[in-house]
Amino acid sequence: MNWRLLLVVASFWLARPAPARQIAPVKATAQEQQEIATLLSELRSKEGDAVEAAQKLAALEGPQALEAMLTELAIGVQPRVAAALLEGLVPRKDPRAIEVLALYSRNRNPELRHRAVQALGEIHDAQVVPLLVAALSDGSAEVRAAAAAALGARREKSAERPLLRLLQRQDPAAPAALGQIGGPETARTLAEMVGNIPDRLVVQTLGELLKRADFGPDPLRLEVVRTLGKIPGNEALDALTDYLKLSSKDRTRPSRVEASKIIEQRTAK
Amino acid sequence: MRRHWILLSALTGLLAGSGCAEAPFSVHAIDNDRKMLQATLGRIRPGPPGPYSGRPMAYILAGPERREDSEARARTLIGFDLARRQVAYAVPAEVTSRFAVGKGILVHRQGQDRLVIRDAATGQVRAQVPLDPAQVLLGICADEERVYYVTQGRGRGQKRSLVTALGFDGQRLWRVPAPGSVGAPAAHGGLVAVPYRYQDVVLLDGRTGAELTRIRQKDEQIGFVRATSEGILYGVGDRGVALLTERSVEGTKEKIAYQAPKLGDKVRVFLYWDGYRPEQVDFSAFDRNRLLWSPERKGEGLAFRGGVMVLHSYRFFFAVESESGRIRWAYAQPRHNIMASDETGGAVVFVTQDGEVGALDLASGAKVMSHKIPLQPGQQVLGATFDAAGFAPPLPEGTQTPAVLSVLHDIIFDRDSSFIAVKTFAVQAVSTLPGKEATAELLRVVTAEGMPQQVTRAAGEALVARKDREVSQMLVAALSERFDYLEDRRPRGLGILARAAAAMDAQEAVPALSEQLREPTTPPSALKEIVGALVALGNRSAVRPLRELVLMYRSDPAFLQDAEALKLAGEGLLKLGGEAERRTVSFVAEEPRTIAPVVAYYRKILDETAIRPGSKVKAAEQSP
Repeated sequence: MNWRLLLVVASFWLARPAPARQIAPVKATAQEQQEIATLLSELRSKEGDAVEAAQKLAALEGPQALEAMLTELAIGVQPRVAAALLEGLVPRKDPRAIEVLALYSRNRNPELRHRAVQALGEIHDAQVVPLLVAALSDGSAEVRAAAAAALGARREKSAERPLLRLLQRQDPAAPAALGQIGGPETARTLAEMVGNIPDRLVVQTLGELLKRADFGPDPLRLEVVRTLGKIPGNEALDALTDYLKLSSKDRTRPSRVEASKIIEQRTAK
Repeated sequence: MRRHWILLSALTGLLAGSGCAEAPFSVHAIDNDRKMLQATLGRIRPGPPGPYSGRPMAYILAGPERREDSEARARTLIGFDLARRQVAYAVPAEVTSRFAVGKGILVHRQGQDRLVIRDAATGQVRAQVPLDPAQVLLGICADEERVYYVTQGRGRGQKRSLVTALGFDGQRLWRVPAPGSVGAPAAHGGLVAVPYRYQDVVLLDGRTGAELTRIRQKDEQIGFVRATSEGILYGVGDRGVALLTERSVEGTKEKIAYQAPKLGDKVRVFLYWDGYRPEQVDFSAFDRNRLLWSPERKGEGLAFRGGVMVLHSYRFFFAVESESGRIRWAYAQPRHNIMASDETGGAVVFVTQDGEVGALDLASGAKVMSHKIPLQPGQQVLGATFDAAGFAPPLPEGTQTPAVLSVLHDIIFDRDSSFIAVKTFAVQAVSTLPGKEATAELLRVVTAEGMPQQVTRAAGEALVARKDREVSQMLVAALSERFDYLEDRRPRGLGILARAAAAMDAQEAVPALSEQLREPTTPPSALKEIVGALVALGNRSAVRPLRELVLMYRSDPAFLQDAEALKLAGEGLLKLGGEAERRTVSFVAEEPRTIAPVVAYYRKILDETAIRPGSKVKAAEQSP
């Protein structure tokens, strides 16, 4: 192992003009330093051992371990090792990883892109939003799903249109995310999509919208209920039934009344 | 004794000079004898200035597409008067060959067992001549007085040929046997020319069948003979043609009146039907894929008239300059194949599968005639022979000739994907046109969806070769196209575009190329081209993306099979970067996880570029 060269390149990496990489120097204990050094050495052994070392390094807490992980990813490791390191970044939710994760979110290996996007999705930093939105256009369904889930979870309104586009492309990752984000535009667009994309996807999305307490006002909910009422099949009926249950405290709500009426009419047949 | 020898030599020379020294096709006949050739050429009578038929005519064969089609088995010979634009006659005729036209007659094979001589003006049978079933027909021709045909024994070891002359009443006038292969004949000015044993052209007296002389080509095979008003032409090799002149005795391409079109490597040069192939006696795909041209004497040499040839390929015509391959005009017939065509000197005449008889102005490609002939149910046009020398319908006033680039575009983007060779040729034709629009068209082909690979490749090669900086903005826009699942978009032709950017030194393309380097969907083949282009462009802003590529994938076994992109990127770092990039390359070369091919290559390039002790040390450059 050529530590001198490693340090040289690592120093170039750290010297790059990137604001996300300003890690405050924290002194690690001698034992921690020794442990990290041992693991870094093992990362250069056979791939199986290296993966194990990567998992151990990922499990270590503290900025020194994070720094070591990011450096390893930056100077390039085998895909399996990279996967282990990226997985280790997910629970850390550390914005300092954004730059490295951004690189890996465009790796040629879809598994690595998936893990990078998952890790980005956990970071609460505005910088990750364009990266997540970009990942909705990825060729891999897993990567798109990870990005959609992350955007939905953070209720990222700027992702509404890309997610609608994802729904138009009949991507199964879209309904849940869109259900968490969608507003009036989503409701109107979904009404227009009926017949153009599978009913199942429209119903899932509308159902998710109705589950949200913040979705409204009621005229908008009423519009969604009527759209569901036009869609044949049990799935639409189930979505309306779920809405009745969720809105049981407000029995006079017009959208609830309309849902009830639709259910009665359809079940009476 | 010496006196006897002199006398014998003089007698032999006299006999040879008179053309009656040997029997026709004798193995002892003298070839390439200038005096004999001069004498023979002096006998040639001028041919008719116009068509043999007296009027410009198309003799059209119509019938069912497949012969086994029992519902419409009948074939019909249609005589079409091109000048009057009307059908002169239509008679049932089981024609199985192209037509040969003589003065007032036309001849064809009927079935497999006879030749039929018809009145050219009415289509009525004048004579029928049985063909020997042991012989296969190789070709028919006719002149003002006689019909000539060549047959050859069927089967292996039966290479004995016969050349036969008939009167227009079907009476045999003479027949001469030949040991070995004789090809399809051509008649001109009282002579009959035949290719013989792939190397000779034998000239026979049309009246008697006596061999007058022969010429031998020493450096190429002779594949056909053709009679035109300019004289007798013979095919030399598979790409050229020569005019029979006194120089023919020289026997090499450089010294005879020889011409070969320079149409580029995408064109299969089919100058005339192969005289030795019996299947080409009949109408076939060769009638729909050939070059139309007229010869022209140019001093002692030969030229293609007007410097133009017309390539006919199925539904399409391309008029191409024979010296440069540059396109003059193009024509695409909608839907139906053009089954037969000819160049008359002023027009290109043609007949389509569905019965359109048309003509294009030879100079401009404008359509100057279109007439639909009635066909019987179940029939289509199977082929046609034209006797229309000099036919040139006037260009109607106000005729608009479609822009050649627009026609070529339509051909290239035609939905019928079966014409790959034609489309490829059309791309080549675009590449001969000057200007930004032509380059832009090539760019559109390269980035078009669903374009056959061969067509894209041809367009790419042309695009790279043009180095046309005028389209750099379009090029950058095409290179900026990214894969986008949401918008269902993907970049196309990235590798070619990258090469084109490098060729035209498009520095403005560096950011787009750098982005494509980072794109996970960029195909490995394109990745190499992009890295190569970035290195060739020599822009230092490429250092960072190159470094990212190297570090990201240096340990990736996906690059084990083909590490070319990483190798080139390493070279680029050394070339474009400073000391820092050299250290990066050194690190990658020494780090144990780097894949073996990259390690080996980087060590090599580091060694090759190492600063030796005593050599001038360059100041370390700053990394961008």
